[in-house]
Amino acid sequence: MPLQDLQPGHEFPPEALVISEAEAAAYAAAVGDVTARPSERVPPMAIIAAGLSRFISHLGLADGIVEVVHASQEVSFKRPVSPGEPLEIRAILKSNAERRGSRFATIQMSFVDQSGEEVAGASSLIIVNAS
Amino acid sequence: MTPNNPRTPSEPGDPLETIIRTITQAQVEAYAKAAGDYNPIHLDPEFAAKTPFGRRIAHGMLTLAIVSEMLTSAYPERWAAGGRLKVRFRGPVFPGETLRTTGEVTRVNEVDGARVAEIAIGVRKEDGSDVITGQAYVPVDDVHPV
Repeated sequence: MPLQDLQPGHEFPPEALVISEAEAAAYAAAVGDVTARPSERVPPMAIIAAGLSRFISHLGLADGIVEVVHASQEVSFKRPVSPGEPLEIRAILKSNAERRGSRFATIQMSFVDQSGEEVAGASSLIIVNAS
Repeated sequence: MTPNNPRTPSEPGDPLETIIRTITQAQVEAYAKAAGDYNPIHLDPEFAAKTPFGRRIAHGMLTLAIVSEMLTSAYPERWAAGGRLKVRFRGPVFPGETLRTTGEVTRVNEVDGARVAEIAIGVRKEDGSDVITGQAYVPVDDVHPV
C-alpha cells in the first residue's frame, strides 16, 4: 500500500529476518568494519539496515519514482545477534504527515528473538519528495 | 556485565578513537547489495542527477555504520548489549569524500544500577561540515558490581 494511504499507527505484517554468516561478512566488508567478527556475531547496525531496507522497499520507495532521504535514526541494542539466528521484525508507522510538499514518515521497528525478547529496536525518520 | 578494556572511554572528556574513511562508489554498491537497499539515489547516476543533490549519494546507514564501528571499538562488549544512539543526518555524502568520526564522553549518568556514558558522536567531512550529529549512550560499568 502506498505510504500516503497509511495512517499513523499502521502495523506492518511481521517479517522474518535471518542474517547468515556470509551476509554478516558481506555487510562488514561493505562498510569496511575492521572490528566485526561476523562468524561470531552480526554487526549490530546490519540488523537495523536490513530491516529498514525491507520496509522502504515494501512501501514502494526504492523504485525510482520518488526521492527518499534518511533524516534521522535512533537505535538500541539489547544483546548481540548470532549469524543464522531467526528474528522477527515488528514494525509500526509511527508518524506520517505531509508538510510543504514533502512527506515525513517515521518507521519504528522492533527486532525480537524466538522467545519474543527484543534484541534491538530502531526508529527511522524518512522524507519522501516527488522526483 | 563483562568489564571493558582499561582504555574504555568512561569519564567526561574521554575521547573515542577517530576513524577516517573515504567512501567510494564501489563501496556504496557493495553496501546496497549487502543491506538490500537499492534506492536509485545511491546507484543510478541519471536518477540522482535529477535530485537536489545532483549526483549519487552514499546511504545514510553506510555512514552510520562507521559510527557503530567507532562505538564497537571503544566498547567491544557493551555497545551491542545495552548501547543506543540518536542521530540526525545533516548532509549528503558523495562518493570520493573522506569522513572523520568524532566521539567524546560528555557526562556519565547512573541508570538502573549502571553507569551510562553519554557520548557526543558525529561524522564530519574534510571541509569541517557535519554529516551526522547526535548522542550515544553506553553502559560502562556497574555502580555496585556483584
